[in-house]
Amino acid sequence: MGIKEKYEQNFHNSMILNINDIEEILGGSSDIKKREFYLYEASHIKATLFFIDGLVNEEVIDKTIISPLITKSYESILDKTRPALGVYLSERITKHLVSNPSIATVSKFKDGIDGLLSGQSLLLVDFCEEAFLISTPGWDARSVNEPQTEPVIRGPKDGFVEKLSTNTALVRRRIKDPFFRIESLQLGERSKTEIAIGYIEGIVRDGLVDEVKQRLQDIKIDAIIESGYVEELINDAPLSPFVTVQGTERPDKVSAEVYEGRVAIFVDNTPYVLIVPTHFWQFLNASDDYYSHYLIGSFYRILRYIAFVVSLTLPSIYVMLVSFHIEMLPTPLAITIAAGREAIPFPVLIEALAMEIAFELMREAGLRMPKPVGQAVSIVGSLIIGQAAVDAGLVSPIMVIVVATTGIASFAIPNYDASYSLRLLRFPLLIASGTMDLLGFAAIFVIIIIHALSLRSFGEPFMSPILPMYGTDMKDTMVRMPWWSKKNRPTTAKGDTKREGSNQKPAPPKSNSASKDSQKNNNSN
Amino acid sequence: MKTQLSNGMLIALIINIVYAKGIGVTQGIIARQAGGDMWIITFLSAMICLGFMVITIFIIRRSPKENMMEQAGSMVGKCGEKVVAGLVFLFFVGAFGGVMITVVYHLQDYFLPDAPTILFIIVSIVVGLYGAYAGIEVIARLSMLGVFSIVILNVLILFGSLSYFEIRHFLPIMRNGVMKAFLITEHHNADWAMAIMMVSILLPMVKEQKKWVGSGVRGVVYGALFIVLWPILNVGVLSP
Amino acid sequence: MKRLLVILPLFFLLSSCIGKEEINDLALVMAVGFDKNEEDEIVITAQIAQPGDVRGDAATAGQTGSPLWTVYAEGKSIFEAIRNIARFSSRRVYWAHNFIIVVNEQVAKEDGIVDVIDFFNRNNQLRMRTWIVITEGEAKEIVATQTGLEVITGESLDKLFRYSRIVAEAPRTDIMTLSAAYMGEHTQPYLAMVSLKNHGIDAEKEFGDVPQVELSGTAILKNDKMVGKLNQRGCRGFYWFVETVESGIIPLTCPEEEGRVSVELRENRFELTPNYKNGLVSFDVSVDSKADLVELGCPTEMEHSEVVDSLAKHVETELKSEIEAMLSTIQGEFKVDSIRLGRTFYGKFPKEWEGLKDDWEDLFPNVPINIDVSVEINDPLLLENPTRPSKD
Repeated sequence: MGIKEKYEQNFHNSMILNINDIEEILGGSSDIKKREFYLYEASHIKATLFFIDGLVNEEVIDKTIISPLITKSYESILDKTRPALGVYLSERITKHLVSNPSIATVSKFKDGIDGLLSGQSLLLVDFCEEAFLISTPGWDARSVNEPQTEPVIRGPKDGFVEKLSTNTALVRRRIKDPFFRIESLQLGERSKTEIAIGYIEGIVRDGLVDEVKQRLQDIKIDAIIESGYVEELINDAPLSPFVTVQGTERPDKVSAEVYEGRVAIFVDNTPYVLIVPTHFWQFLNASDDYYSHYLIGSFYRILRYIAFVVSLTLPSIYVMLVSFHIEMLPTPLAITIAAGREAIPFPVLIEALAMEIAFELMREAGLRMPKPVGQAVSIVGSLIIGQAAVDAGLVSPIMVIVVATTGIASFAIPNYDASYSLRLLRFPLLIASGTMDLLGFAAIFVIIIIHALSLRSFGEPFMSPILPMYGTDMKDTMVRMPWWSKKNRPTTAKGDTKREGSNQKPAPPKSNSASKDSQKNNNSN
Repeated sequence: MKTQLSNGMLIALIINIVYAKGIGVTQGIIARQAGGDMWIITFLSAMICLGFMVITIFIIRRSPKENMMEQAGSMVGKCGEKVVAGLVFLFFVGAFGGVMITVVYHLQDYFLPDAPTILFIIVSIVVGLYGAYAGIEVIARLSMLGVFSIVILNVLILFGSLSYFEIRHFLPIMRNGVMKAFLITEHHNADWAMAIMMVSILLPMVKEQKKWVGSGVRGVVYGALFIVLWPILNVGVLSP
Repeated sequence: MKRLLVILPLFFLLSSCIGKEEINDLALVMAVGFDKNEEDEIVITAQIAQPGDVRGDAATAGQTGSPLWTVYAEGKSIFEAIRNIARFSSRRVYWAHNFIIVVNEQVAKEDGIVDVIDFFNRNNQLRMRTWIVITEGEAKEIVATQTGLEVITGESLDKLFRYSRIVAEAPRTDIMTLSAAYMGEHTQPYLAMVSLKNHGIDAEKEFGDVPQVELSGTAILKNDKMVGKLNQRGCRGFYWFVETVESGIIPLTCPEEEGRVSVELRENRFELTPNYKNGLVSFDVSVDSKADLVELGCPTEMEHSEVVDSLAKHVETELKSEIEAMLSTIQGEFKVDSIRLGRTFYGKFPKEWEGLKDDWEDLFPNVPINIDVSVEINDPLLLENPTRPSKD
């Protein structure tokens, strides 16, 4: 019998055989520890505990498994009148002896070994045709700290970590709603990664959860290392440069989206949680917008929309104007640009492409280097090389300004994935407008827009609520309207759509002000 | 899933289909024939077509699940449907000839004088095919974006030309007489015919049947307002 | 990926057939002049900017020392002359940024400016807001003279026109108004005039005078040929008819004694009303102005409203005589309807105009025009007495 078959079969009633098989299946991996002991006053009943070094808390094992089994009296282990066999013994162990809060019986090697490998302890006892999985997690994990990729000025500073249960707990702390559901499943034939989906029943659209679950279950893959795997495998538009699934590190963001009727997908071993369905405009919203004053939030949001347009089109427009439509530039600007380009040997398009690529290179190099060196790279790259290139007459100063502005504008987009896709889309636009002028620019631009408009994310039009337009959702798109004006949840939520009571706009109590006025009148009289 | 358009999308589509040719080639022809009355004629034409639009919507509403071709089919049989469909096809081929001339003429004359015309045709066909592949719903959403652009364009042209605007250029009003004005509307009526034909095909896909008439009327009125700004500025600034 | 490698170079090839021209391969023309030489050829003078020198920036190489490169070329026609510039210009001559077109009076009188209009209307790069002016001297000199504060002289001339409303001594004429008037059925074009006059002082050359370009009147055209010139005084009368007068300064002598008074017109209402009675055309012109005193050199006391009234009368007669002088020149001498009388008449009486249209040229010189000017001088609120003490 090969290992595969052994892995699929049930436990034998002989512990020796079971141990042999387990050791054979696991191939004697050195991180798997085995502890053999006898039950107290019942030296004929031997037990063996398997656990994985580093994944378990040994103190917990000692307190809740080994010491009760070794020290409890014979009577409490076995009724003398009954043979210490099978089902009866296992019931005794689970219900009377092991004091760990979580214990499960398994009858298959597969289940037992999977549990062992995911950090539980596997207890085998003589005469039992079952094994016991006892939860004793205790691996080292990063503690909750501020998310590096999505910092905020005002707002909670906790971020997701690599441990799934911590992540779901972070969200649960924000949604103490009995209808908030977390359902889990396992993905990855070899990696056995835990996946959890969270949603609020009664707010989420009918069928959305089923669709998410269906898509997740359709995934057949050996391993899932990061939520990016899941994202690409459940994506609506696999060929699109646009990201139709939002990933975030912020529990507050996830909770807010769940309250709006979306579904969160937690993946073990990664701090990035996925949110579906996703609208494109969400990528331009930062958590800060919701926490700071609504005027400030709206201002920066509009700024980000402008940054989005700038980062997508500025280099193309510059190239188009300078190489084809010089007549459209105001004369003083035309002369300034011409002065800057006086000694430049390359056409504008080549110059722009080279600069764009150089900029991306600098960004990438700064990111990949260890942090202190990364700063040096960006200083050398941007300041010294940039200045030298301009002085040497290889690049015009205005081109440096254009590329730098574009780069900064793309950094202003809060979501990293979205800003990546914009960076990519910039290049076809640039090449088309540098070669075919306005015609090329318009054609590529319209194609991009048609493509973006045809996208859907889990049944939701990707570009909504702007195109197609949903009036009420506009309150949270280009601008962030004050909370007291957003009476209803956005259209992504179905069912219980009322968010707040009526007349939430705060105002001083009327009776008070009236009395003050009358007082004033009296005084003046 | 059957494609569904919202009523707002219908309005946007109506505005988009008439606007380009309405402000482009048509205004040139009307200006040559009517001079300073061109804005009255543009307006008159829109009013005439408003009537036709309402009539069309009422006719389609008799059998709201069927578009123009299908209604013809259920009246005179399969053959009749084919004939009507063919006529509609020919109509749009001809009508979009005018639109394409507007686009190519403007792009080529003002922006790319040295580019070969075939390039325009190829690029337009590629973009158009991609749009057709994406489907009517996507195009309807795109037309909302078109309306944004139209509003922006109108505002820009308004700001740009207001300082040169002179009211005395409008005199005399109706210099060619009422009869001739009515005759000249035919050029702009042809633009509006595209909108009416489009509505007769798309109407069954539009969601709220009760608001059909309202949406149609609003589409024509907004479209007319957007377009009529151009001849008004044209006369006020240039005095043709 | 392979397909992409094939398509990309194709894109780059495309750029050449679309008419790509890098900005540093163009000679940006800033001002252009049209003259005539002895052999009756057109001489085109072009002022071309050298961007590297205009923006004296250390970061850019390619400086030659002089910000402008002014060149000329002859030819039998405009097109030939322009082609001839290309024979020695290292870069393609680019007209889109041209600020101003200067036409010599001789050219405007003998050949007409239709070629100029035609050339610049057909050139798709050209801006319709390019100024066009006529000069009595040589256009070449106007184009080549270093005038104004800007590095580029064309820009100086541009700003001269842009802010010329204050002096109101020459109309603001660009290609667009010119072609509209030229092509219009009922209108005749007019152009601003400029001339060179010594205004500047060169301290380096023993305080020698340096000529500067100044506005000097209006040229009246019939179709495309220049027929005559209105002087500065006539120009102010002319201004009422063709542009909106926002303000203007009227210098006057004091009513009784010696000294100067200036009033500034603030709010003006100009109305031209056509009348048609018994087959006779006449026009009423009414001007309503509110004026402020800006200079008071008279040793009179301003408390007396009579003085103010008499000043107002004075301004009225001055304005009226300006308009009358202009009308007598236009109607009597030039016999060209540049002041849009025919257009205004057509606006009110389109049917009657049909009958008169063909005879308008003969009718115009004799059309009676009644001028009614009323001026109200605002009370000087703070300063009642002249600052100069009265000579008692």
